[in-house]
Amino acid sequence: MPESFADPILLPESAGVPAESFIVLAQTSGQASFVDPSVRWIDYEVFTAEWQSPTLNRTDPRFNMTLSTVTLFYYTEEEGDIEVDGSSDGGDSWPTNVTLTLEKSDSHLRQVTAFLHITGDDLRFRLRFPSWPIVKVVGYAPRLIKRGLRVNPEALHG
Amino acid sequence: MSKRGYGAFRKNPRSMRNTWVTQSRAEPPEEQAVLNLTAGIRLDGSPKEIPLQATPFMSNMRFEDTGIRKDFGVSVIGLQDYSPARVFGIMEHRFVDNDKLYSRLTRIFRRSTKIGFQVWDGTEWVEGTTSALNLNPIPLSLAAIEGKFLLADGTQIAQWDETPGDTSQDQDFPTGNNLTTDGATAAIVVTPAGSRQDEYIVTYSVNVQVTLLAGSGGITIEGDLPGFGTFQVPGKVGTFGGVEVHIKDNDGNILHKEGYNTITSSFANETWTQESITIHHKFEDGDTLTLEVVEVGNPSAFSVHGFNNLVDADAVAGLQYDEYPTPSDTFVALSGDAPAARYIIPFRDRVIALQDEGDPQFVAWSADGISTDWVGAGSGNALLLDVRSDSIDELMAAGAVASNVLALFRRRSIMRVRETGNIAFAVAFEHWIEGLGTDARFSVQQVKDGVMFLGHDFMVYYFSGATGPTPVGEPIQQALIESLTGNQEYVDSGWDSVFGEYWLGIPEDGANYITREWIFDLGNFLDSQRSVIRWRTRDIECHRIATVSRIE
Repeated sequence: MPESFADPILLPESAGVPAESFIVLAQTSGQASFVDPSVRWIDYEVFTAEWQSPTLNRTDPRFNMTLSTVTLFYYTEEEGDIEVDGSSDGGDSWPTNVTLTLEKSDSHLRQVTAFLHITGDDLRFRLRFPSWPIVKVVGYAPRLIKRGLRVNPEALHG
Repeated sequence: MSKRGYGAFRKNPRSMRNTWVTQSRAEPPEEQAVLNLTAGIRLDGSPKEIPLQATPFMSNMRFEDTGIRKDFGVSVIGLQDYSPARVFGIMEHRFVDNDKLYSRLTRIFRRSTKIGFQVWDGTEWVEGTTSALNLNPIPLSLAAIEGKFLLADGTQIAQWDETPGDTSQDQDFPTGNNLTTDGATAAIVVTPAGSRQDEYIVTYSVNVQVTLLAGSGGITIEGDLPGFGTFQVPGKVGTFGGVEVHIKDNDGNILHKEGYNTITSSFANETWTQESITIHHKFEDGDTLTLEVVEVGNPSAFSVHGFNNLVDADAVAGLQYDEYPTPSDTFVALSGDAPAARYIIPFRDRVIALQDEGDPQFVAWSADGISTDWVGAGSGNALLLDVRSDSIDELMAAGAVASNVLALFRRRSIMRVRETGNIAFAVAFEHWIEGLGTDARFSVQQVKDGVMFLGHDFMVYYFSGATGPTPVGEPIQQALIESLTGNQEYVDSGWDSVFGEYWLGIPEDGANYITREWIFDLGNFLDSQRSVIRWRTRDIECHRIATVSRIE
């Protein structure tokens, strides 16, 4: 028999109105955890985060395009890094990797540009946060250059 | 070939020799507007088709207003505790007692073959006594009603009870106590401690005596009148005197002061026969409450008596309070008459129980306000055999879509449940929606103004009583079809009312636990009416999900 379950926890707000709300997870490790906006790790490890753009070159499938640059617009509470990777094959590979340093923005919007220069038929980029600083990316502007017309040689030569 | 096409060929004969047609100069870059990151994940089409502000892939990323940022981490509750190998149920047990709302975070697991459970006390997990009841090792259906924590595992409904404590704890000051000197004290050891509202009533009597001045006293002020005459008011003036009664906690801190004074020209003493003072304090078990008297002014005598009801026959006890509810330390069967339910849910002060010993069409309900009564007036049961969309149409789960309407989810249909007001058949079941049900009973989650659930067609629906089921899971339906190949009994869900998010946990690739969370921003959905579809995802390994209101 336990010594005590201690007292029930009295909610601080008025009856019937919970003060807060948490998602609690009974993890396979045997621990229970709650999703906490103030922490930066899962199981004591900084966890990765990734956002991938859809295909950017969608104007005319006959043309190759070059994704020259991607400009990010952001706020951040402290200086930190963000990784921008470029893919020319729809995300199968990410050969172009740029790590940008984001300056502390205080309350005004800052921008930073990644030079990717990738050419292909399905251009995308992805953002990853290797460190924690609370970076809020509010938008992006890709710079696309139309290249040559893609021609199927088999169609031409019969 | 058209004339125009032929002409073009003739003008550029080199093009026939090259794989690529190169233009004479590169066109200037296309100027792109800034694309705001306002939408969520979209997996329901080609990346070329989805909106530029959405994403075909996202992990551990959340949307905030117009932007994206890294998602939240998790904090462990109870750093050192790894004991349960598998948690079959976790829930906040919330109950109202004496107009106050309480909560206990509780998790259920298996000790040998029996029901084991732990309660989070704010510092650590405190384990209860392993029940004599066996636990069927499957994800449990949990519910809280009438101060009880209920679980259903398909073989039984078991309860952990918050039995009301002694509501009239009476404790006396020492018999014959009489505090007649400055600084005198009388004490009570508070056992058991733990008042329901941290409220204690201390009762005592007071008598103060002052000296009646003899002869003609009065006031005389010499030289105050013109000509330096003497101002003189003849008469009797008594002395001022009294006591201050202090009520102190275990550390000697004064919790309350009460003054009793008298000034008299004709009465020699004054008595307060029964003084009851209400104090608010958290006493630990074994703490001492002290009554102390302090002299004020010039009383000729005084006495303070802390009440003793038992021996001194005072009107009430010296210390009165209502004790906390006392939790039992183990799970017991709810009732011998309760069905062997697979799923339970409170509805209109009743427990609605789905299935009985594996009978998939059986439903039962307890009497109004008496969760242990399954045979008396107001209780009942039925076999819901009238099926249309499926030959069995197993009863799976339920969720309230309005205050008096319960949506009863079957595998391929949804029924409407309501209270009839007729005690002979207190709960009515009606066909509502055919051809849509759920195979994942724990995906049914109470959310804002309705219910969300994972349909049998792998579509996630938002279901309000007003509008019926609204599909909101288009972006992830294909991903669910491909990855949710495990047993859907392991699907679970949660509702975060602060961020307005529905959490859907699924086992991928045949796992017997949750490996991925899909998170839907319902608050934004309701505000924007589907102008954006906000799903995001994160990898995590867990057995169950719960929503709790407080962790401390």
